[in-house]
This record gives sequence, structure tokens and C-alpha cells, in this order.
Amino acid sequence: MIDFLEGSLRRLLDSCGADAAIIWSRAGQSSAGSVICAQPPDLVARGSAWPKTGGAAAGLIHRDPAVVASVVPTSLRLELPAAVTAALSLDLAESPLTLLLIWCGSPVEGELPEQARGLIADEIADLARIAAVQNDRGRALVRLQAVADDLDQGMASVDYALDQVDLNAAAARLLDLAPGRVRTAEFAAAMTELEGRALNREQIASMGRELLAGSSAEVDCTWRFPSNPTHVHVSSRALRHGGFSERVWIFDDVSELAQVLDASRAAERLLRAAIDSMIDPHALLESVRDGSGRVVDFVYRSVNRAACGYFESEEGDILGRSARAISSDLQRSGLFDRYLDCLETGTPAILDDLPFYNQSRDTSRRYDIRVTRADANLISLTWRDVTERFLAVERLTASERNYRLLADNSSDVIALIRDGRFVWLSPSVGDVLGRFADYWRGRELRDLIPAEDAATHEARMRAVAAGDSVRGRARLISADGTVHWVHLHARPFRDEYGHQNGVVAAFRPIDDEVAAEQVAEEARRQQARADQRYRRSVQNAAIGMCLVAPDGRLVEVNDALCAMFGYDADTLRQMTWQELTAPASVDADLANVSSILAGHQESYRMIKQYVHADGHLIWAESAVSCVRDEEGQVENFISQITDITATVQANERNEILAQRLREYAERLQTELASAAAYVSSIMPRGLTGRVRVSSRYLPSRELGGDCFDYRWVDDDHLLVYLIDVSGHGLEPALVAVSVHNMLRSGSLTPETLSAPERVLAELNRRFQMDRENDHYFTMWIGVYEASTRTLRYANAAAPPPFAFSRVGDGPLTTIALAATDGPVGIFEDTVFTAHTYTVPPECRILICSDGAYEIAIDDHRSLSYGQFKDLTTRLAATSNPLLDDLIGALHALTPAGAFEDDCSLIELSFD
Amino acid sequence: MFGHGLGGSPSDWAPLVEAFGFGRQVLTFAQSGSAEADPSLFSARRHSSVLGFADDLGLLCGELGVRDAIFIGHSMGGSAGALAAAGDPGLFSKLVLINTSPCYVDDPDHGYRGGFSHADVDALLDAIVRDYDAWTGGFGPLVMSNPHRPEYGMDFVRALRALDPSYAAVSFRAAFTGDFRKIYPRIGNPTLLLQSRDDPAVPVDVMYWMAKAIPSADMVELQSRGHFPHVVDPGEVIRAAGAFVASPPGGRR
Repeated sequence: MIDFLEGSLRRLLDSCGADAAIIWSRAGQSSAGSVICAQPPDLVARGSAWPKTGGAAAGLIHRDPAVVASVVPTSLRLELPAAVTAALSLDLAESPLTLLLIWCGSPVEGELPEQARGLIADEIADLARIAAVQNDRGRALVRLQAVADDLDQGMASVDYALDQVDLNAAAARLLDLAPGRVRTAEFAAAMTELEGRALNREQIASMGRELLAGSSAEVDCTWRFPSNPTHVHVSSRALRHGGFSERVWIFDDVSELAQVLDASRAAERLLRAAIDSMIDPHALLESVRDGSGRVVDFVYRSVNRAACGYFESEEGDILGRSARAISSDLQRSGLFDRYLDCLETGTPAILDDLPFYNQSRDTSRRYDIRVTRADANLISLTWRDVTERFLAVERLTASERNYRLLADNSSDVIALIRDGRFVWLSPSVGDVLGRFADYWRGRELRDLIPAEDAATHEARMRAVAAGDSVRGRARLISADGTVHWVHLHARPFRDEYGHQNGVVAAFRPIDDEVAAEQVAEEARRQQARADQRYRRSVQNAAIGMCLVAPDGRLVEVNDALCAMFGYDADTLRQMTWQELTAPASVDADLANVSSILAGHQESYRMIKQYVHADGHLIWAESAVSCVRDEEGQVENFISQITDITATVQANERNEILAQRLREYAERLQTELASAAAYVSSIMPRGLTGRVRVSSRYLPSRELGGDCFDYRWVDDDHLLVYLIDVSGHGLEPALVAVSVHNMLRSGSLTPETLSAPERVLAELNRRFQMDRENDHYFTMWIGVYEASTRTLRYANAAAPPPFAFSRVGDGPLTTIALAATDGPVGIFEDTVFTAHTYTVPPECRILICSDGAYEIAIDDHRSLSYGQFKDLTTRLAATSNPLLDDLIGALHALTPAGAFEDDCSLIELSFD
Repeated sequence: MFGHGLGGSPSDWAPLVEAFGFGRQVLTFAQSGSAEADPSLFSARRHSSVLGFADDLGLLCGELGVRDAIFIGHSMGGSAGALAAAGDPGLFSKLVLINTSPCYVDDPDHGYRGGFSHADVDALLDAIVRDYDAWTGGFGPLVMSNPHRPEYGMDFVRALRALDPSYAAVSFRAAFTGDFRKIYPRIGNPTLLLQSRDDPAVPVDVMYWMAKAIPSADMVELQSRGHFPHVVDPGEVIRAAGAFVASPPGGRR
């Protein structure tokens, strides 16, 4: 079909003289169409994406390059042998197809010949529609084949009528055939070969017999093999459509699934064997629910051998039976609720020593029970009879309780000692010395005495031997070697005949008591050391400190206070604070002291004056607090006194210096104001006539370096310039005035003055910043020639002036005279260029320094040049002259209403 | 007429529009697949090549009746403009191509250094497809350079993340895998080439190659750094192109 269409397009090109023809489809996505056919065929590939060009006027050959550009894409132009001279774009009727004809190289005359029109209407339109449909179907088949090849399942479609079998890639791999199309005999041979390798050939043969029985049979069977794939599920279905009779075979490799199933069955057998070998009973219980879904019982689904032993029944008799029926105690014991809780929450139940009635043996026993959830309806249950363990633990607990009662009731140790050896000890010795009585019996008492106490011990034993009773503290070494304090009471032991026969010693441990005493002693020692350190710190403190009695007498003083007042400590201790205080400060201090004595305040701080021993006055800062007794009465005042005489004197000197600084600043401000007034005085006040000029100079507080001038240098030329020298203060103002004077003085020739770029170049040569204390300047200079209405100007980094004009009653237009070069004075080789601007009638030009718009409009933002331009444009539309309204608007924008830098403005108004 | 590059936007041109727009009719537009463009205009098939973007440009001019325009394009936007000019010489009167490249891949056999090996490009495109957000986080600041002004990098990252990732993958593949060196000698328009320093996407050698390939081309090496000189220092671009843009249509620069 495409061949026919290409032939028709070739004849169309011959009939109309065009160089290329494309048919493309507008169907599909909105952003791209696709090519159906092209002539020459290699110009663009069929099916490639095509940009959706604009609408086409029917049947007209376009020669306007702009219109041609709207239908001939760049990508096609680059493939054409010559520049495109004409194009025709025609939508083919009753189809989403467009024909594009292109002429290259030479111009094209006339319109499309009638013969060509007929060819398009009678032949090409139909062929193109068919080609487009075929393209779509071809693409669909290719896509389908790609999908089939992508499947993991094998597919074979057998067409007996045509004797052909179509195989996808997976089927071809399994049958060891080439993918694509084979003869039915080849397919049958491959199936026989595959069957020969299968392990379950009998089953497969049965499947084959079913197929032979009827042509519409549907069969499936899993073929098993000794090696991978080990399991292939093979199914076959008859497929009938139209007059065709086909059969489809599906081969599904299920080896992985089958292997997993085999493994699962093996694991299940293993698990069953493990459970059966358990000593403890195990059961799997399934929940039984009523109509509302509530669990009302459990039935046994699996039990191991130990469980059968427990119930004294066979497995078959237990499975399927109700748990509540088998165990009548299930509900009362609370176990049923625990089963429910485990099933519903998944929380395992761990129950130890649970009493439970064993129905089979008609006895109540104790059990450890474990319950876990196996799935949503199953719980796993194991249990162990622990009755014997429980009873053993009970007995042990009871005997421990009795023993503890006895031991607790005998805290003191009593011992009978003969010939220096223990004969008998009470059981409580274990608590005191770490071993029971049997251990100590027969041992020598002196082995328990620390070496350093041996002499004391011997003396005590002698006293007892002499018939005395001994009391007091002693130390004994316990079985683990530690030394314990005990309170000892030893006396002679007399037999029934009254004969002394040993020593009875009673002792009780007092380690805690002794330790408490030692802690108290250590605390007392530390307090004494702290007191000593405090007294030393007070004595050696850098500031004066003293303890003052309520009557004003100084009780304790330190060295710093003696040095401050010029008295020794003994003399000071004879004086009162009132005697040391300057008369002028006494009343104020007394008021504070009275307030503390009355209990209204606890401390105060004041600056006051004292009198030194030699009579001079001392400025001091006094901080006073108090110590009160238990009844709240003041025992002593504690005063800390810092000599601040030097600080007070320094402050007085600083005040004098600050005053001088203020006077100096005021003088400087006066000088800056004078300089500003001078700069202002040398600048012109305005011009009238053919060009009306008005100007404003608003110096900042610190004085910037702005200066400007305008004057007619001859009848036809008006010179205007504005300078802004870098920095603030007198220096930049002097540089500005120097430039101004030089331009006024006539030291530049009239030829130079009439060429702004040469003026800038000359100033750049004379005012290099290394000779001007690092000051450079920006400058805009212009010369207006009235006879030609031409403004020739040059700009050395100054803000571009704005020209406002309008045509007739049209809107006001603002132009920035934007060209600029570098500032004057930075580089010796800076090149300045001149530009011209033809001044329209009634034009106004605004020239300004950067101080006019570099103003902070709040804490974070400054006015930008663009905003300044917008503001001036808006004002210029309604204000003429502009300057006073502009200054008012700028003042209103700044929070302080003042300019931070010099602000200079010149407005030129032309006839 | 201003054509932005990948990840760019019509607003990138604001300073240049203000500087060059006086007395002229200015046309800015959003490239297909960019955040501000109509998504239905993007075709993964057509825009798999820079030629698709060149087609858009030519057809847009055709529909608007624009001829003899001054075209200023950046990166892939510049490349699309160059191809459109080669196909239709009357479309533009002159071209300003900023950090533009006809081919990003090195071709040592012909002494051409595009800045990337085939492996570099494969790795870059793979990173785009694998995790677009992660890739933009690294690529944005790298291409924008100017580490002392990180806000430019962050802005570019935001701009890239505003793109549909599937469109971005197609567009970046188009830009980085195309080779249009055979077409550049067919550009008959006066052309000014601008190239900034330390551009990780386009080495300055590419500009030297283009200056030789395009019959009527001049070039300026800019002082600003990174791939976006018109964003980080529009003043320098305006100064460099000012005289060329202002010169009479028929004359040389």
C-alpha cells in the first residue's frame, strides 16, 4: 500500500514541480503527530514524530516566509537540499491527515495545477487513509508480539488449517524451537520429545487421549521433570473465531511453587515429629464462634502423644471435641478467659503454678501453662504438671520463715569462754561475726582481737579473772576479716557450786553508732577548718570588711579596711562607724541602719563618704547585711566597703572631656554647614529662555561631594554637568569645588568643553585618586546644541538621566539615557564615549546624583533605581516643573525625612 | 526574542529585556517541558532531540509572523535558536548565543572537547532517572557555581524540581546526547558567542570551536563564573552584547 502511495506522491511532485511531499497524521497526542509517507522516501522516516503545525488554508501555495515557517518545521528544512521558497499545506478530507508540499531553491509561479488537484482528490487521499490504518494495525500487531514475548508463560497458537504454529519466546525456549512460526509437525515432535523427558508420562498420556477424543477438549496437567524446570503446568484450549480453528497451548513453569509446596509438606512432617517427641502435653485449639462472631468454645484440632497420655485417650477420641466438655474446670479456673485474651490480642499467656482440676484423675493439681496464638482462630497450648515442685517450694518457704523468726529474736551474742577459747555461743553470732556458732566453738578469743587492741584485751581479761565485771567498747575481727565495733559486757561465769569456771561475755554490734559519731566528729573538724578559712579570707580580702555591733562599734576589721582608713586594727576596734563617716553621709546611713534594726529590710547598699585618719575624704561603696539571733534581733552588721575614690574622680574627668567633645562636634557641624552654604552659593540658581533649567542642592548632615553647573557657553550651546565625589566631609567638597572652578575658569578650550567625552578624559587625567586622598568622582556632562536639538553627552558612572516626552496627547514616555563608562579618577586608561540624543519637542530631562534615590525607606530596604524611575515617571506625568514635588515625595518615603547623602537634581525643560 | 535553557524561565531575562527592550518588540517564551509551559505541548518523541525544540521555535515565529528578529538564547535554548537559524536564514537577523554547545560529548578523533565522556553522560542521565530530587540537589549548585552566592544554586535547584521529572529526563537526554556540529557551519547570520568562566557544563573550548565553525561569529569570554552568566551578572552580559545588539541589522559588529 505504501508503495502505491509513494508512487502517487512521485507523480504529484512531477505534476506540480514541488521538491518534497509529506503526509502526516494529526491523530494521537496533542503535542505530536506522526509521518505516514514521504517523497523522497528517505527525507523523513515513516512513523516518526511530527510537530503539529498551524491551520492550513486549503490548496494555496504560500510564498510569504513567515507563513511558510508556520508549516515547514526546522528539522525538515535541515534535510532539504536548498532553502524553502514555498509550501502548501492541505488537510485531506474526511481524515486526520495533512499533505505538505514543499518547493526549494527557485521561486514558484501560479497555483497548484488542476491535474495535481485531481490526483490528490481521486487517489492520494484514499491511499493515504488506507496506509494510515495499516500503519496503526501493523503497530498494534508488533506491540502484541512484544507483549507476548515479554511474558514468563509460554504460548503456542496452532493453526491446523494453515499448518503453522506461532510460538512466543518462553514456549520456544521450553520446546527447544526457534521463536516465531514453525510447522505443526515440528511442534508435535517437540511436544513428544518433552513428554519423553517427563516423570509422569502415564498422566500425560491420559491427557493426550482426552485431546484425541474431541477437537474442543480443554485439558491441563502438571508435567514433572527430573531437572529444572521440575514442574510445568501445561494447558490446552480450543480457540474458534470466524472461520478459523486453532488451539492454544499455555506452558507455565511452576517449579518454584511446587518446590516451595514440597518443602512446606516436609517441614510440616518434621514439626509433627518434634511435637510428638515433647515430654509436655501440647494441643492446638480452634475457636468456636456463635452467630454474632463471639468465641464460645474451643475444639481440639491437634494433640501430641503426651497430651493423649494426660487425657488417657486416643488421639482420634480427642480431636474435634470441645475443650469445655473435656475440662470442666476451664471456665472456673479463669483459663478460658486467658485463651480468649490470647486469641484476641495476640499476647501470650504465661501461667505458673495454676491450680486446675484434672478430670481424668479426679484430683486438683498445679500446672505451668503456656498459651500462644497460632493464627486468627487457633491457639497453641502446652502445659506441665508442677504439683511436686510447688509443694517442695511451700515447705522450704515455711522453714525459712521459722528460722528467721528465731534469728530475729536474738540480736545480742552471748558466749561462754574457758581458758581463752569459746565453749558455747548463741546463734546470733552468725549475724555479728559472719559464721554460725559451730565455726567459732573451740577457737581462741584473742584471735578475734586486732593486734593494736591486744594490751587492752589482756587487761580486761585479767580484771574479769580477778572477779570484776567489765563494760565498754571493743573491736572484734569477723570471719571475713572486717573489724566491727561491739559493746562488751564480760563477767566471771560461776558453776552451781559458785566456783568461777570461765567468762560469760555478752556483746552487741555498734558499728552504726560508732560510724555516726565519727561522721559527727569529722563534721565538727570540717566546720572548724571552714571557719578558719573564712576568717583568713575575710582578713586577706581585697576590699574592706568589718563586723559591727548594733551600737555602731566595730567588732572585727580586716587588713584592707585598716589600710583604707589609715588606722591599725586595735584603734579601729575602739571606734564606731559614725565616727568614721563624713558628716554629710551620716543621716542617710543611719536611716538604713534603723530600718534593718526595725526588721524592715535585711541589707542595703549605698555610696557614701568616709574620713581618712589624715582627714581627707574617701568615696566608698558600702554593702551592709546583718546576722540575727533566734528571736530576730540583730546580733551584728557585716559591712563590705569598696574604695571608689579613683572611679569617682575619673568620671568627673570624663565629663569634662565629653563636654569638650560636644563643643568640638558643634564647631565641626558649623564648619560643614558653612562649607555647604559655600558650595551652594557657587552653583547656579536656574535659567530661563529656550531651555528652562531649575535645580536643587540638598546637602546631607555630613556634607557629600555633589556639585553641578549649567550655562550657555555660546549662543547655541548649553553646558550641563553634575559631579558626585566619593566620601563625606570637607575633603570631597573641596575636590568638587576644584573641578567646578577648573570648568568655570576657562582652563579648558571651547573645543574640549563642547566634547563631553574629552572633558571627562581631561578631568580623569588631572584628578587621579592617588593624588586626591583616594577620592574619585562620578560625573554626567552634556552639551545641548539648540540649533539641531541634539544633546551630546558622556557619563562617568553617574545615574543615567531620564528624558520625559510625549507625542501629541499620547502617554508620557520615559527614556533612561543609559550608556555609561567608569568613574573619573580610578584608572588612568579609562575610555569615555559620547552619545547623542535628539531632544523631542517639549521634552524634559531630569539629572540627579545617586543621593536622590539611595535612601533607606525602612530598616531593611533602600529605594532601587527602578523604583526611583517609576516614581519620577509618575510625578512627571502630572507635575511640571517636577523638582519640588519629587523632593516632597522622596522626603515622605524616608522614615527620618532627611537624605543620607547629598541630593542634587537638575531639570531641563525644552521648548 | 529570548530563548531560555533547561531549568531556566522567561523571567531569567528580565534585566536583559529592560536593557535591550527600549524601542523594540520583545518576545520571551517558556520552552516545552518547562514549569511554566503548557504540559500538553511536550512530546517525549518530538523533544527527544534539540531539533524538536528548534521546530517549536520556528513554528512559533511562523505563527506570530516574526522575521528578522534578534535572537538571544542560553544553553539548549541557544542551541535550538542556532538550528532554527540554520534551517531558515530569514528567521533571525542576528544571534547571541550564551554558554551554548553543539555537542556535549568529547570527540578526541576530531580534536573536539565537549566537556563530557560518553560514560559521564550515561552516569548523569542514569542519576536523573534513578533519583531526580537527589540529582538536582547536587547538579544545581555545581552548574550555577558561585559558591559565595549559594542562593543562586538553591534557586536553580528549586527551578529544576519544579520540572516534571519525566519531561526533565527526556529534555536532558536530548541536550546531552545530541551532536549538531555538522549544522553549525550552515548558520549564515551574524552571531555573537558569550561564554563565562568555570562552566561545568560547557568548557570555553566549545566557544572557540563554534567561533571557527560559524562563518560570521565573534566571541567574548566573560569574567563571571558558572553556566548562568545572565543570571549571576546580567550587567556584564548587557555590556558584552550591547554594541552587537544595537548595531544596524546589515552591518558587522
